[in-house]
Amino acid sequence: MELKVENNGNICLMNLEGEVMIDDIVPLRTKILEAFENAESIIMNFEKVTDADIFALQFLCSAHRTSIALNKKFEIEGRRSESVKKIIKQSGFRREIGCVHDKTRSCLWIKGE
Amino acid sequence: MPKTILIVDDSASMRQLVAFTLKDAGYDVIAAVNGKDALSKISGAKIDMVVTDLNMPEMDGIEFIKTFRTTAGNRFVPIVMLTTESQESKKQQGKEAGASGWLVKPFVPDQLKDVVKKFVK
Amino acid sequence: MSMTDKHKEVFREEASELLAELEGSLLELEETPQDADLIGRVFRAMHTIKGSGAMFGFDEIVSFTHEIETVFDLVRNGKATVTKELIDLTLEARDQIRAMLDAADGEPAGDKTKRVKLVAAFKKMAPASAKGSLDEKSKKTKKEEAESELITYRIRFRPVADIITRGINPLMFLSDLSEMGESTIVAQTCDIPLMTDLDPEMCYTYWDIILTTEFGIDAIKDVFIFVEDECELKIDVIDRLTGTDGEVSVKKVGEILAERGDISAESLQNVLNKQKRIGELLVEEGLVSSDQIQTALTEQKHIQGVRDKRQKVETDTSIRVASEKLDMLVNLVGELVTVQARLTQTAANNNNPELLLISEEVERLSAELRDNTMSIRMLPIGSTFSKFKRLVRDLSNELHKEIELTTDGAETELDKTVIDKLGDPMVHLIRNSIDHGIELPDEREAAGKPRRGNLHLSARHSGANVLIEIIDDGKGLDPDVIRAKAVEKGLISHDASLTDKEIFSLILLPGFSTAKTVTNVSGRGVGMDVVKKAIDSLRGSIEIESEKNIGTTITLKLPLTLAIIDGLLVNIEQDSFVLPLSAVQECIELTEKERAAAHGKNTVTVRGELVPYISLREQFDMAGQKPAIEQVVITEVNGMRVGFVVDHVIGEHQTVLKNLGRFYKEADGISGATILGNGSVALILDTQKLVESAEKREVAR
Repeated sequence: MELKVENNGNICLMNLEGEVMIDDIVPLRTKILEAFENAESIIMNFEKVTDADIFALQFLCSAHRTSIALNKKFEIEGRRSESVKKIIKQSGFRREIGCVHDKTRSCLWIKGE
Repeated sequence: MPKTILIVDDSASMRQLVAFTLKDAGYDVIAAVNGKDALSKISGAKIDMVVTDLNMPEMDGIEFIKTFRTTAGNRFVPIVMLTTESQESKKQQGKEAGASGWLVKPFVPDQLKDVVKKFVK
Repeated sequence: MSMTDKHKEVFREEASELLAELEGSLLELEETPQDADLIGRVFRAMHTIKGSGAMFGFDEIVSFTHEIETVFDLVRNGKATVTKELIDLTLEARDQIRAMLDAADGEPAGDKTKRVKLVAAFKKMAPASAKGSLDEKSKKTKKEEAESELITYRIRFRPVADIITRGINPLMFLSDLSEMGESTIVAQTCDIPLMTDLDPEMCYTYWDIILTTEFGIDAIKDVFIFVEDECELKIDVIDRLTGTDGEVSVKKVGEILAERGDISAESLQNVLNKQKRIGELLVEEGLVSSDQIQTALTEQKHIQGVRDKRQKVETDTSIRVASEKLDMLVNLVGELVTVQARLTQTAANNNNPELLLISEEVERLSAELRDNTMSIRMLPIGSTFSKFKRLVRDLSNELHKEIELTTDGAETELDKTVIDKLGDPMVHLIRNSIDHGIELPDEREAAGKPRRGNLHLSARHSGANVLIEIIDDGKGLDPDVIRAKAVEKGLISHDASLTDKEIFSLILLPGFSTAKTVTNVSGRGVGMDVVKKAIDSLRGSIEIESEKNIGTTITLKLPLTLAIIDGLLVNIEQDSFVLPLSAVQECIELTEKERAAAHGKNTVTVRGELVPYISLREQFDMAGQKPAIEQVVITEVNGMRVGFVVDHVIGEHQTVLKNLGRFYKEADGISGATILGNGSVALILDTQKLVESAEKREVAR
């Protein structure tokens, strides 16, 4: 995984590249927590992510949840690659309604697109 | 890129059968005669799965699994134990050491392929 | 030499070496009976011969060696000691193995009697408790028997949190399951903690999987064989579709569904979409969690999908049921849903986990039951479409026109009641198109069109609605002509500024007819207002689009069913009302200041546009003090924007409609009632009637 962080005022743009796997979570978490200290909103660009595993998806849920608790925003943008779409579907993360924690109705996995 | 499977067994015939079966199924195979041999053979290489016997001289399967798991890159690699001992205690020891699954001898090559396919997609 | 023979050969060589080594080890062991290393070597030699031998079909060697191995396993674990007797026996046994190994396949080998004696001797040394479970079967038979039965399972799988540290990615179970049949997987993410509390290597997620497969429950359990002791696994059969062997008692609903024709994927989707909305409402009210809804939803979708497929194959198994029976069923289901909502609320209030569980189950079941029941009443519109073929043919002959009728979406399903009432207005619209729309062949040719006109009927689903389009490629509506006519009839003032769409909708007003001559076909003084009325009674709407010389498209938007209403739940004082959602456009606030600004008139300015409103509080003579800020629900009635003033807007509400008793039949402005989760009644407002009566009062004033 490669991560490039761009700060744009209140918005922090994180460009991810390559595979996002279980071993990438710790560094990714550090970056996200850092970003939440200053930015109001994190936008994670997933366009160049080639693959992910369920631990990464689980982590993204956690990050989203954390953003709600902090009253901040956490979004994923960019067309998702076929393998990312596949893992989201296969692992059952894709959903039609946000979960109990999704108070701001901003669930990352609605329709999974 | 084909997935690399490490097979550890002190029995030459078992090694041959397993290696043949897995190569036939399109995997790359590294064969070792015991745990020690395996560790020296794989140093640095990326292993996608391990198939290991338990009773072996020098370093047995349980010991091997424990050592293998200590390498960062091998922490989440699936390991299947080959065993005739379907007794709970051995299985349990293996699981505690970090084995993912097991295959009880005798098995037919298709069973081996099925198990490997289950772990290596 | 075949591959198997080659493997066997390698085994023979290997075993020979092992036996040679064994001999040496045994002799050494006689000198130093405590040597653990030697004991280990002997054990391993036996172990390998047994293990590998089994792989290559040396069954006799395997069972024989097993006995020796068992004893040496005991020795290895300090439970038996090396004696001279053991060494002697083992050496003899070694010779026997050698003999068996040297014999060619199938030939008798060595001294069988001796072996039997040896086995007995070794057995005596190993107490019964130490018996290995050689016979334990680990055979992983996937397809058990070819069952023609498709079973749908609900599988709850919660792995141990540290599963990945054993090299097991939970995904593998999910993909194994999806390979077994049709599966729908929902990850339950509610237990995932905040980032700071998250251990990246722990699996906090658990899964609900709905699987439809021919495999038995054992095959499913086999998927989880490596984690069966460490994970939470619950497998329930939730649906069983039997073959055509006369077993019809399992699912009556399924049969009825089949009888009523196939359910298209679309119509299912719509039923599900509706479910989603009620789900969301329940979530908002805190009655259930969204995760539960999500799971229930997918489960339902899954089963419906599977049935759908299955029914395409089995359309011939069906029964006929009187429609009154179905109405009765719908009514009962409506009551059940109401009671269930109360149960859910009571359970939530009581905070009794067991009761909560039961109520969730009841909720899931009743939602399923309701959707199933509703779908029974669904019929494809195709039969209605085909009736029009003859009509189009006869009419075009009569009028000397050449017209081709095309259709699509004939399989689109909607409520039987809706279909029954749809015939007349459709006939009227088709007649209009043929009579006024499509030109005579010569006219068409002159206009550069093909001589043959086209009339296209299409039906499709859109959310909880069905859209029916009647499209002709005729001369289109002339907005100027319609406008002039409307002014002449006093329907609009001559300086009214109207869009084309608004002008077209004028033809729906009572007493409007543009035909210059009264023809046999459509211009019998029965205007489009009759069509409008019929569609309104179905809670539908009409939209007209037209382009000069290109054609006209009339779109009928109809609810899928009349038994369920999608509404907006509002409150005035303690009373609840439901406005049909199809009519609602937006909600705005009405403050004291704005009321004052309107100079006593019931109007409010919305983005510069003056919208009249009806205060329901006044309309229904309700006591009490109105709140400082009221809500105006802006609706579209007869093409006009009209607001309804209420105290509070609660939210979307989907409900089974109940007719009011005869006693209330005359109650103006109320079209029915529904019962809310807390047991109270909400009246369903008839916006059209309310506007009409308000207009009457206005005129009277």
